[in-house]
Amino acid sequence: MLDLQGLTQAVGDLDEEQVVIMLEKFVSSNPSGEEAYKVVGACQQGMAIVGELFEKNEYFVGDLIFAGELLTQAIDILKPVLGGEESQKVGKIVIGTVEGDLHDIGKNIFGSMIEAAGFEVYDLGIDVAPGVFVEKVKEVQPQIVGMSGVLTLALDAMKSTVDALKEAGVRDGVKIIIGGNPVTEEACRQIGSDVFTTNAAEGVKICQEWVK
Amino acid sequence: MNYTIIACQMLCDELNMAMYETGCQYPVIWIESDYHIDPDKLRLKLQEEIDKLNNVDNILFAYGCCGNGLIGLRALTAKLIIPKTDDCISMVLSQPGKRYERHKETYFLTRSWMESSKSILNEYLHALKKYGEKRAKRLFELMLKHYNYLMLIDTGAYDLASCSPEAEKLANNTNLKLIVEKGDIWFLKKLLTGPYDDDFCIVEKDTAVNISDFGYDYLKMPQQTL
Repeated sequence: MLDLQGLTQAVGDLDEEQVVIMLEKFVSSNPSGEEAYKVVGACQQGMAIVGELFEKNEYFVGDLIFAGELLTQAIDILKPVLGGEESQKVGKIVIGTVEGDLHDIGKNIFGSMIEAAGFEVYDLGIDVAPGVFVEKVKEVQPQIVGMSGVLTLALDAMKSTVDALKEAGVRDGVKIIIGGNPVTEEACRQIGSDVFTTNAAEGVKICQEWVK
Repeated sequence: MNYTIIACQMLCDELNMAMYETGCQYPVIWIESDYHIDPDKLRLKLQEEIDKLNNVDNILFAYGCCGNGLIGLRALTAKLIIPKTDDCISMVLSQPGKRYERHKETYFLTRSWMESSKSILNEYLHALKKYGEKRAKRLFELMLKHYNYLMLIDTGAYDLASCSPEAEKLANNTNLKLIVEKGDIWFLKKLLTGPYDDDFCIVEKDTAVNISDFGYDYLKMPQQTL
Protein backbone atom coordinates (compact mmCIF):
# COMPACT_ATOMS: atom_id res chain seq x y z
CA MET A 1 0.00 0.00 0.00
CA LEU A 2 1.07 3.53 -0.79
CA ASP A 3 2.67 5.71 1.89
CA LEU A 4 -0.38 7.89 2.51
CA GLN A 5 1.41 10.33 4.78
CA GLY A 6 4.15 10.73 2.22
CA LEU A 7 1.54 11.43 -0.44
CA THR A 8 -0.20 14.00 1.75
CA GLN A 9 3.14 15.71 2.30
CA ALA A 10 4.02 15.63 -1.41
CA VAL A 11 0.68 17.28 -2.26
CA GLY A 12 1.25 19.81 0.53
CA ASP A 13 4.71 20.52 -0.88
CA LEU A 14 3.17 20.84 -4.37
CA ASP A 15 5.76 18.33 -5.50
CA GLU A 16 4.06 17.35 -8.73
CA GLU A 17 6.73 14.93 -9.86
CA GLN A 18 6.61 12.98 -6.61
CA VAL A 19 2.78 12.95 -6.54
CA VAL A 20 2.57 11.62 -10.09
CA ILE A 21 5.21 8.94 -9.48
CA MET A 22 3.46 7.76 -6.29
CA LEU A 23 0.01 7.69 -7.85
CA GLU A 24 1.10 5.93 -11.04
CA LYS A 25 2.88 3.29 -9.00
CA PHE A 26 -0.22 2.90 -6.85
CA VAL A 27 -2.54 2.57 -9.86
CA SER A 28 -0.27 -0.07 -11.43
CA SER A 29 -0.55 -2.20 -8.27
CA ASN A 30 -4.19 -2.85 -9.12
CA PRO A 31 -5.67 -1.59 -5.85
CA SER A 32 -9.27 -1.88 -4.68
CA GLY A 33 -11.71 1.01 -4.97
CA GLU A 34 -11.66 1.34 -1.21
CA GLU A 35 -7.89 1.75 -1.17
CA ALA A 36 -8.16 4.28 -3.99
CA TYR A 37 -10.57 6.38 -1.94
CA LYS A 38 -8.10 6.40 0.94
CA VAL A 39 -5.56 7.80 -1.50
CA VAL A 40 -8.04 10.51 -2.57
CA GLY A 41 -8.42 11.34 1.14
CA ALA A 42 -4.65 11.64 1.49
CA CYS A 43 -4.55 14.07 -1.45
CA GLN A 44 -7.29 16.14 0.17
CA GLN A 45 -5.36 16.31 3.40
CA GLY A 46 -2.46 17.59 1.32
CA MET A 47 -4.75 20.36 0.07
CA ALA A 48 -5.49 21.27 3.68
CA ILE A 49 -1.72 21.69 4.20
CA VAL A 50 -1.63 23.95 1.15
CA GLY A 51 -4.41 26.04 2.69
CA GLU A 52 -2.51 26.30 5.96
CA LEU A 53 0.69 27.37 4.23
CA PHE A 54 -1.25 30.01 2.32
CA GLU A 55 -2.65 31.27 5.63
CA LYS A 56 0.91 31.48 6.94
CA ASN A 57 1.90 33.55 3.89
CA GLU A 58 4.27 30.87 2.69
CA TYR A 59 2.22 30.16 -0.42
CA PHE A 60 0.94 32.63 -2.98
CA VAL A 61 -2.36 32.67 -4.84
CA GLY A 62 -0.58 31.11 -7.82
CA ASP A 63 0.33 28.17 -5.59
CA LEU A 64 -3.32 27.69 -4.65
CA ILE A 65 -4.26 27.55 -8.30
CA PHE A 66 -1.46 25.11 -8.98
CA ALA A 67 -2.70 22.99 -6.05
CA GLY A 68 -6.17 22.87 -7.61
CA GLU A 69 -4.64 21.72 -10.89
CA LEU A 70 -2.52 19.14 -9.10
CA LEU A 71 -5.57 17.69 -7.36
CA THR A 72 -7.47 17.44 -10.64
CA GLN A 73 -4.46 15.71 -12.18
CA ALA A 74 -4.26 13.32 -9.22
CA ILE A 75 -7.93 12.37 -9.55
CA ASP A 76 -7.46 11.81 -13.30
CA ILE A 77 -4.63 9.37 -12.60
CA LEU A 78 -6.75 7.59 -10.00
CA LYS A 79 -9.91 7.39 -12.12
CA PRO A 80 -9.24 3.91 -13.57
CA VAL A 81 -8.97 2.39 -10.08
CA LEU A 82 -11.80 4.39 -8.52
CA GLY A 83 -13.79 2.14 -10.84
CA GLY A 84 -17.49 1.51 -10.42
CA GLU A 85 -17.62 3.21 -7.07
CA GLU A 86 -16.61 6.42 -8.76
CA SER A 87 -19.93 6.62 -10.54
CA GLN A 88 -21.77 6.37 -7.24
CA LYS A 89 -21.60 10.00 -6.36
CA VAL A 90 -22.08 10.91 -2.73
CA GLY A 91 -24.21 13.91 -3.53
CA LYS A 92 -24.86 16.83 -5.83
CA ILE A 93 -23.78 20.40 -5.32
CA VAL A 94 -24.46 23.52 -7.36
CA ILE A 95 -21.76 26.17 -6.97
CA GLY A 96 -21.11 29.60 -8.39
CA THR A 97 -19.71 33.06 -7.76
CA VAL A 98 -22.67 35.31 -7.13
CA GLU A 99 -23.94 38.13 -9.29
CA GLY A 100 -21.67 41.16 -9.60
CA ASP A 101 -18.57 39.28 -8.52
CA LEU A 102 -16.03 37.80 -10.91
CA HIS A 103 -13.64 36.19 -8.46
CA ASP A 104 -13.46 32.46 -8.81
CA ILE A 105 -10.09 31.24 -7.58
CA GLY A 106 -11.44 30.09 -4.23
CA LYS A 107 -14.60 28.71 -5.78
CA ASN A 108 -12.58 26.69 -8.31
CA ILE A 109 -10.33 25.25 -5.62
CA PHE A 110 -13.36 24.29 -3.54
CA GLY A 111 -14.89 22.85 -6.75
CA SER A 112 -11.93 20.56 -7.40
CA MET A 113 -11.81 19.46 -3.76
CA ILE A 114 -15.52 18.72 -3.47
CA GLU A 115 -15.39 16.83 -6.76
CA ALA A 116 -12.49 14.78 -5.44
CA ALA A 117 -14.64 14.06 -2.39
CA GLY A 118 -17.09 12.30 -4.69
CA PHE A 119 -19.68 14.98 -5.32
CA GLU A 120 -21.28 15.67 -8.64
CA VAL A 121 -20.45 19.33 -9.14
CA TYR A 122 -22.48 21.78 -11.22
CA ASP A 123 -20.33 24.88 -11.49
CA LEU A 124 -22.33 27.83 -12.80
CA GLY A 125 -19.22 30.00 -13.15
CA ILE A 126 -19.01 33.65 -12.18
CA ASP A 127 -21.42 36.59 -11.94
CA VAL A 128 -24.29 34.14 -11.55
CA ALA A 129 -27.74 35.73 -11.30
CA PRO A 130 -30.12 34.42 -8.59
CA GLY A 131 -32.48 33.11 -11.26
CA VAL A 132 -29.71 30.97 -12.74
CA PHE A 133 -29.09 29.34 -9.35
CA VAL A 134 -32.83 28.72 -9.00
CA GLU A 135 -33.15 27.12 -12.43
CA LYS A 136 -30.17 24.83 -11.84
CA VAL A 137 -31.46 23.79 -8.42
CA LYS A 138 -34.84 22.92 -9.93
CA GLU A 139 -33.16 21.01 -12.74
CA VAL A 140 -30.62 18.89 -10.87
CA GLN A 141 -32.11 18.90 -7.35
CA PRO A 142 -28.84 19.04 -5.45
CA GLN A 143 -28.51 18.54 -1.71
CA ILE A 144 -26.24 21.56 -1.46
CA VAL A 145 -25.86 25.02 -2.97
CA GLY A 146 -22.49 26.76 -2.57
CA MET A 147 -22.17 30.49 -3.17
CA SER A 148 -18.89 32.29 -3.35
CA GLY A 149 -17.76 35.91 -3.50
CA VAL A 150 -14.88 38.19 -2.66
CA LEU A 151 -16.40 41.65 -2.87
CA THR A 152 -18.52 42.93 -0.01
CA LEU A 153 -21.34 43.49 -2.46
CA ALA A 154 -21.38 39.72 -2.95
CA LEU A 155 -23.19 39.52 0.39
CA ASP A 156 -26.13 41.41 -1.09
CA ALA A 157 -26.16 39.06 -4.05
CA MET A 158 -26.01 36.02 -1.76
CA LYS A 159 -29.01 37.34 0.15
CA SER A 160 -30.90 37.91 -3.12
CA THR A 161 -30.06 34.38 -4.22
CA VAL A 162 -31.33 32.82 -1.00
CA ASP A 163 -34.48 34.93 -1.29
CA ALA A 164 -34.95 33.77 -4.88
CA LEU A 165 -34.58 30.14 -3.79
CA LYS A 166 -37.19 30.76 -1.09
CA GLU A 167 -39.59 32.39 -3.55
CA ALA A 168 -39.18 29.46 -5.91
CA GLY A 169 -40.04 27.12 -3.02
CA VAL A 170 -36.75 25.21 -3.21
CA ARG A 171 -34.84 26.72 -0.28
CA ASP A 172 -35.91 24.09 2.23
CA GLY A 173 -34.81 21.27 -0.01
CA VAL A 174 -31.15 22.29 0.04
CA LYS A 175 -28.38 23.15 2.46
CA ILE A 176 -26.60 26.38 1.66
CA ILE A 177 -22.93 27.10 2.25
CA ILE A 178 -21.32 30.47 1.54
CA GLY A 179 -17.62 31.12 1.20
CA GLY A 180 -15.18 33.89 0.46
CA ASN A 181 -13.44 36.81 2.07
CA PRO A 182 -16.40 38.87 3.28
CA VAL A 183 -18.48 36.11 4.84
CA THR A 184 -18.88 36.22 8.58
CA GLU A 185 -21.20 34.59 11.06
CA GLU A 186 -23.36 37.68 11.17
CA ALA A 187 -23.52 37.92 7.37
CA CYS A 188 -24.37 34.23 7.18
CA ARG A 189 -27.31 34.72 9.51
CA GLN A 190 -28.60 37.75 7.68
CA ILE A 191 -28.25 36.12 4.31
CA GLY A 192 -30.13 33.05 5.49
CA SER A 193 -27.37 30.60 4.68
CA ASP A 194 -26.88 27.46 6.75
CA VAL A 195 -23.14 27.85 7.21
CA PHE A 196 -20.21 29.96 6.13
CA THR A 197 -16.55 29.19 5.72
CA THR A 198 -13.41 30.87 4.49
CA ASN A 199 -11.55 27.59 4.20
CA ALA A 200 -12.11 25.23 1.27
CA ALA A 201 -11.07 22.09 3.16
CA GLU A 202 -13.42 22.93 6.00
CA GLY A 203 -16.22 23.56 3.49
CA VAL A 204 -15.69 20.11 2.01
CA LYS A 205 -15.92 18.53 5.47
CA ILE A 206 -19.19 20.34 6.19
CA CYS A 207 -20.68 19.16 2.89
CA GLN A 208 -19.57 15.59 3.56
CA GLU A 209 -21.35 15.69 6.92
CA TRP A 210 -24.51 16.91 5.25
CA VAL A 211 -24.79 13.98 2.86
CA LYS A 212 -23.80 11.26 5.32
CA MET B 1 -9.92 66.82 20.44
CA ASN B 2 -7.15 64.32 19.78
CA TYR B 3 -7.06 62.53 16.47
CA THR B 4 -5.06 59.53 15.31
CA ILE B 5 -5.07 57.94 11.89
CA ILE B 6 -4.83 54.22 11.28
CA ALA B 7 -3.92 53.68 7.66
CA CYS B 8 -3.25 50.90 5.20
CA GLN B 9 0.18 51.04 3.55
CA MET B 10 -1.67 50.51 0.30
CA LEU B 11 -2.70 54.16 0.53
CA CYS B 12 0.70 55.44 1.59
CA ASP B 13 1.36 57.84 -1.32
CA GLU B 14 -2.21 59.07 -1.36
CA LEU B 15 -2.56 59.70 2.38
CA ASN B 16 0.83 61.42 2.57
CA MET B 17 -0.22 63.74 -0.22
CA ALA B 18 -3.59 64.41 1.37
CA MET B 19 -1.83 65.28 4.64
CA TYR B 20 0.56 67.56 2.83
CA GLU B 21 -2.23 69.33 0.96
CA THR B 22 -4.43 69.77 4.01
CA GLY B 23 -1.61 70.55 6.42
CA CYS B 24 -2.84 67.77 8.66
CA GLN B 25 -0.35 66.57 11.25
CA TYR B 26 -2.24 63.87 13.08
CA PRO B 27 -0.11 60.87 14.04
CA VAL B 28 -0.41 57.94 11.64
CA ILE B 29 -0.20 54.26 12.48
CA TRP B 30 0.67 52.42 9.29
CA ILE B 31 -0.60 48.88 8.84
CA GLU B 32 1.06 46.50 6.44
CA SER B 33 -1.04 46.17 3.29
CA ASP B 34 -0.84 42.36 3.16
CA TYR B 35 -3.55 42.26 5.82
CA HIS B 36 -6.13 43.16 3.21
CA ILE B 37 -5.92 39.64 1.84
CA ASP B 38 -7.47 38.23 4.98
CA PRO B 39 -10.23 40.35 6.56
CA ASP B 40 -10.19 38.30 9.78
CA LYS B 41 -6.50 39.00 10.33
CA LEU B 42 -6.99 42.64 9.37
CA ARG B 43 -9.76 42.98 11.95
CA LEU B 44 -7.60 41.48 14.69
CA LYS B 45 -4.65 43.70 13.80
CA LEU B 46 -6.76 46.87 13.71
CA GLN B 47 -8.39 46.04 17.04
CA GLU B 48 -4.96 45.46 18.54
CA GLU B 49 -3.87 48.93 17.37
CA ILE B 50 -7.08 50.54 18.64
CA ASP B 51 -6.59 48.94 22.04
CA LYS B 52 -3.08 50.38 22.33
CA LEU B 53 -4.29 53.97 21.95
CA ASN B 54 -4.68 56.31 24.91
CA ASN B 55 -6.01 59.84 25.07
CA VAL B 56 -7.48 59.75 21.59
CA ASP B 57 -10.97 61.10 20.94
CA ASN B 58 -11.32 60.24 17.27
CA ILE B 59 -9.67 57.48 15.28
CA LEU B 60 -9.67 58.08 11.54
CA PHE B 61 -9.33 55.07 9.28
CA ALA B 62 -7.74 55.19 5.86
CA TYR B 63 -9.72 52.08 5.00
CA GLY B 64 -13.08 51.16 3.53
CA CYS B 65 -15.22 48.18 4.45
CA CYS B 66 -12.38 46.03 3.07
CA GLY B 67 -14.15 42.71 2.75
CA ASN B 68 -15.78 43.21 6.17
CA GLY B 69 -12.35 43.59 7.76
CA LEU B 70 -13.56 46.62 9.70
CA ILE B 71 -16.84 45.11 10.85
CA GLY B 72 -16.87 44.46 14.58
CA LEU B 73 -14.15 46.96 15.56
CA ARG B 74 -14.79 48.86 18.75
CA ALA B 75 -12.96 51.48 20.80
CA LEU B 76 -13.88 51.93 24.43
CA THR B 77 -12.95 55.58 24.66
CA ALA B 78 -12.81 56.92 21.10
CA LYS B 79 -15.08 57.52 18.17
CA LEU B 80 -14.27 55.63 14.96
CA ILE B 81 -14.55 57.49 11.66
CA ILE B 82 -14.40 55.33 8.55
CA PRO B 83 -14.94 56.28 4.89
CA LYS B 84 -18.19 54.74 3.72
CA THR B 85 -16.74 52.94 0.73
CA ASP B 86 -16.03 49.36 -0.33
CA ASP B 87 -12.27 49.51 -0.41
CA CYS B 88 -9.33 51.60 -1.54
CA ILE B 89 -10.23 51.09 -5.21
CA SER B 90 -13.61 52.75 -4.81
CA MET B 91 -12.01 55.29 -2.45
CA VAL B 92 -9.61 56.65 -5.07
CA LEU B 93 -11.82 56.19 -8.14
CA SER B 94 -15.11 57.57 -6.80
CA GLN B 95 -16.21 61.15 -7.18
CA PRO B 96 -17.89 63.21 -4.49
CA GLY B 97 -21.64 62.68 -4.37
CA LYS B 98 -21.66 60.11 -7.14
CA ARG B 99 -22.30 56.41 -6.88
CA TYR B 100 -19.21 54.48 -7.90
CA GLU B 101 -19.61 51.79 -10.50
CA ARG B 102 -16.72 49.36 -10.45
CA HIS B 103 -15.13 48.73 -13.84
CA LYS B 104 -15.64 45.15 -14.83
CA GLU B 105 -12.94 42.73 -15.97
CA THR B 106 -10.30 44.99 -14.49
CA TYR B 107 -7.39 44.42 -12.16
CA PHE B 108 -6.41 47.62 -10.39
CA LEU B 109 -2.96 48.94 -9.52
CA THR B 110 -1.23 51.93 -8.05
CA ARG B 111 2.42 52.19 -7.15
CA SER B 112 1.80 51.06 -3.57
CA TRP B 113 -0.25 48.12 -4.78
CA MET B 114 2.59 47.03 -7.00
CA GLU B 115 5.11 47.33 -4.21
CA SER B 116 3.25 45.27 -1.61
CA SER B 117 4.73 41.84 -1.00
CA LYS B 118 1.57 40.05 -2.15
CA SER B 119 1.03 42.25 -5.20
CA ILE B 120 0.17 40.70 -8.52
CA LEU B 121 3.65 41.63 -9.68
CA ASN B 122 5.27 39.68 -6.87
CA GLU B 123 2.78 36.87 -7.44
CA TYR B 124 3.98 36.69 -11.01
CA LEU B 125 7.65 36.79 -10.10
CA HIS B 126 7.10 34.06 -7.50
CA ALA B 127 5.30 31.84 -10.00
CA LEU B 128 7.93 32.47 -12.64
CA LYS B 129 10.70 31.44 -10.29
CA LYS B 130 8.90 28.42 -8.89
CA TYR B 131 7.18 27.02 -11.96
CA GLY B 132 9.00 28.44 -14.97
CA GLU B 133 7.62 30.71 -17.66
CA LYS B 134 5.27 28.29 -19.38
CA ARG B 135 3.51 27.15 -16.24
CA ALA B 136 3.49 30.64 -14.70
CA LYS B 137 1.67 31.86 -17.79
CA ARG B 138 -0.84 29.02 -17.47
CA LEU B 139 -1.48 29.78 -13.77
CA PHE B 140 -1.98 33.43 -14.56
CA GLU B 141 -4.34 32.59 -17.39
CA LEU B 142 -6.44 30.74 -14.85
CA MET B 143 -6.09 33.42 -12.21
CA LEU B 144 -7.00 36.25 -14.53
CA LYS B 145 -9.28 34.54 -17.00
CA HIS B 146 -12.15 36.91 -16.26
CA TYR B 147 -10.00 39.99 -16.50
CA ASN B 148 -9.20 41.92 -19.65
CA TYR B 149 -7.66 45.08 -18.30
CA LEU B 150 -4.92 46.10 -15.96
CA MET B 151 -5.72 49.58 -14.72
CA LEU B 152 -3.03 51.81 -13.34
CA ILE B 153 -4.84 54.42 -11.28
CA ASP B 154 -3.24 57.83 -11.57
CA THR B 155 -4.08 59.22 -8.15
CA GLY B 156 -1.72 62.15 -8.68
CA ALA B 157 0.15 61.10 -5.55
CA TYR B 158 3.03 59.32 -7.21
CA ASP B 159 5.08 59.54 -10.36
CA LEU B 160 3.25 57.46 -12.92
CA ALA B 161 6.33 57.15 -15.10
CA SER B 162 8.17 55.42 -12.26
CA CYS B 163 5.97 52.37 -12.43
CA SER B 164 4.33 52.33 -15.86
CA PRO B 165 7.13 50.34 -17.56
CA GLU B 166 6.73 47.61 -14.98
CA ALA B 167 2.94 47.71 -15.29
CA GLU B 168 3.31 47.47 -19.06
CA LYS B 169 5.55 44.42 -18.70
CA LEU B 170 3.10 42.78 -16.30
CA ALA B 171 0.21 43.46 -18.67
CA ASN B 172 2.13 41.83 -21.52
CA ASN B 173 3.00 38.78 -19.45
CA THR B 174 -0.56 38.28 -18.33
CA ASN B 175 -2.29 39.12 -21.62
CA LEU B 176 -4.09 42.13 -20.19
CA LYS B 177 -4.52 45.51 -21.77
CA LEU B 178 -2.95 48.28 -19.71
CA ILE B 179 -5.17 51.29 -19.18
CA VAL B 180 -4.61 54.40 -17.09
CA GLU B 181 -7.43 56.22 -15.33
CA LYS B 182 -7.40 59.36 -13.28
CA GLY B 183 -8.12 58.84 -9.60
CA ASP B 184 -8.48 61.33 -6.77
CA ILE B 185 -7.61 61.79 -3.12
CA TRP B 186 -10.66 63.89 -2.22
CA PHE B 187 -11.97 61.16 0.09
CA LEU B 188 -8.76 61.01 2.08
CA LYS B 189 -8.60 64.80 2.30
CA LYS B 190 -12.15 64.87 3.59
CA LEU B 191 -11.22 62.17 6.10
CA LEU B 192 -8.58 64.53 7.46
CA THR B 193 -10.62 67.71 7.45
CA GLY B 194 -14.25 66.66 7.72
CA PRO B 195 -17.07 67.43 7.60
CA TYR B 196 -18.01 63.94 8.72
CA ASP B 197 -21.24 63.67 6.84
CA ASP B 198 -22.93 60.76 5.11
CA ASP B 199 -19.67 59.86 3.34
CA PHE B 200 -18.47 58.37 6.63
CA CYS B 201 -19.42 55.74 9.13
CA ILE B 202 -19.37 57.41 12.52
CA VAL B 203 -19.18 54.83 15.24
CA GLU B 204 -19.59 56.09 18.78
CA LYS B 205 -17.31 54.90 21.57
CA ASP B 206 -17.92 51.45 22.95
CA THR B 207 -20.01 50.56 19.91
CA ALA B 208 -19.03 47.95 17.36
CA VAL B 209 -18.84 48.79 13.67
CA ASN B 210 -21.84 47.19 12.02
CA ILE B 211 -22.07 46.27 8.36
CA SER B 212 -25.18 48.43 8.11
CA ASP B 213 -22.98 51.45 8.92
CA PHE B 214 -21.62 51.03 5.40
CA GLY B 215 -25.12 51.14 3.95
CA TYR B 216 -25.16 47.79 2.22
CA ASP B 217 -28.62 47.03 0.92
CA TYR B 218 -29.20 43.61 2.32
CA LEU B 219 -29.09 44.93 5.83
CA LYS B 220 -31.95 47.24 5.13
CA MET B 221 -33.95 44.09 5.74
CA PRO B 222 -35.38 43.96 9.24
CA GLN B 223 -32.67 42.80 11.65
CA GLN B 224 -33.17 39.21 12.56
CA THR B 225 -32.88 38.07 16.11
CA LEU B 226 -29.34 37.26 17.11
